Amino acid sequence: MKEMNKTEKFNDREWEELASLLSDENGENSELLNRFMADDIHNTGEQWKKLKSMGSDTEINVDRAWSTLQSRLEKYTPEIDKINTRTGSLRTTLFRIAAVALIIFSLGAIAVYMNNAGYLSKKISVVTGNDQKNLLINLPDGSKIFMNRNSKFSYRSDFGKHKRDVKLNGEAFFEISPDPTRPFIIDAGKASIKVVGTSFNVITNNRESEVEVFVVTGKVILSDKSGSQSVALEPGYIGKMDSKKSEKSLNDNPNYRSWNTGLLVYSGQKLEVVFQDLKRVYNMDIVADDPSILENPWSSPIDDNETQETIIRIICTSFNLSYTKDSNVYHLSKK
Amino acid sequence: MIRDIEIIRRIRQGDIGQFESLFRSSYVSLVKYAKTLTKDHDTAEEIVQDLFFRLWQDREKLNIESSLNGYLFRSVHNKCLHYIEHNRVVERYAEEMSYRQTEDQESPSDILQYGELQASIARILAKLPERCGQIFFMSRFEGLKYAEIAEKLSVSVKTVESNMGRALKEFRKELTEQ
Repeated sequence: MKEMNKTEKFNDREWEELASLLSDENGENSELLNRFMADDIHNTGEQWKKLKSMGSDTEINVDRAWSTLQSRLEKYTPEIDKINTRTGSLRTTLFRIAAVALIIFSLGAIAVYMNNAGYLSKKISVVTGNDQKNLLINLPDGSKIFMNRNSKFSYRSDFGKHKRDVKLNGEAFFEISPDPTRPFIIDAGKASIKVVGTSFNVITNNRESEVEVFVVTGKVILSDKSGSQSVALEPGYIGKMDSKKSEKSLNDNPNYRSWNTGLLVYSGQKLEVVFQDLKRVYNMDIVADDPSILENPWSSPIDDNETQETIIRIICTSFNLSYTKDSNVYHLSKK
Repeated sequence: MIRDIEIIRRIRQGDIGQFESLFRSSYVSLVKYAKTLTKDHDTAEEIVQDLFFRLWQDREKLNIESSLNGYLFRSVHNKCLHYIEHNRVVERYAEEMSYRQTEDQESPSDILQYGELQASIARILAKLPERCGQIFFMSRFEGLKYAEIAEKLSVSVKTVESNMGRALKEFRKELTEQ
């Protein structure tokens, strides 16, 4: 720790100047350089210059690389040449099949139950458990609903005939097919949400027990049950409402929709924030044995192509930490 | 020049031409970066190609709020870290085996140190903010002058200077803590 103080011997301006000097940019300041060299027992200066030899000399053939990648992509998506004109319709179909399969195969975990709630139409409910997220529901009008974990979504079997009314309890992301003649209305408990054709995220019960809506495309009207308050939301905005008040603000969290997209992005946020997101998005429980670990800044994207184990290992390597796993909880400590 | 957001939008919609030009413009520097960390040319190319493969496969989920360049750079970084971690386990095993068989080959500590060096560079780069790490890499490993970096990233030379100062400070810290 005493050694650490050496980095404090210079101010930011001096570090800048030292970097310029050691990188053979311009400038001359032998006094500063001497002062740096004097206690440089680890040969920082020399190592800094030597880094260049680690770079690559081998020629890289981009054309060859591209054709390798292209043939690999063709192998996995045979319709690659048609994708330009058909904008991923194959994927949509696959998603539909996957969603149907998911619903069928997860019967044990998800309770999909239908009950006779009316004389003319059945009520259809889909409930997700603690282990599920991103369950896709395809509605007859082409709208898509991606449900987060521990949520309930219901609609009538005659949905879309005259009106498009649904009910949500929990969190879901909506992609609504445009239809000006039949507005899409979501009963979200304390408030209702009315749209024509748009995409947005809904939480029916946030930390402050309000209904919270985040708009991605289009326009959304959020109003309370009595109709006395109403907020119009444009893309990028979050609207919150309970029976007493409503508010509207610009979203500044790039990871708001991560539970749905699977991708988390950071630019120097503390690990504390990262761990909260990992809990929310991947249901990972991470405990730092030393609270100072939580102060480290993080700038790498995390996506769901990585296993949980890999995510933890990347974090540990980055900050020289070690980890143990104890019944689904990761414990991080300094090496 | 088209903005990142437009490029992302087009790729999401399945514009393979846009995807190809992104690949062509960033491939060389990403491979060089991966090679710095993995020390193996073929692995480096594999890692970068794999990143683009996944990027295209999952393009509909693509949701990048930071710069596209920075995203690619960081993703390669993560994949390399994963590779290094994995390889260290393999190396340790190999080391144990060779130890038993013969004593006069490359010493185990040599093998290990080699992995440590990659890991410590990876650590430095992980600690630096996205842009700072990229500038550090371009200067130190690609051998670019400050002015060239500034032009490539459309930032001022002053920005390059201050980021390099920060990188040097982190570099020194890392060497000291080893």
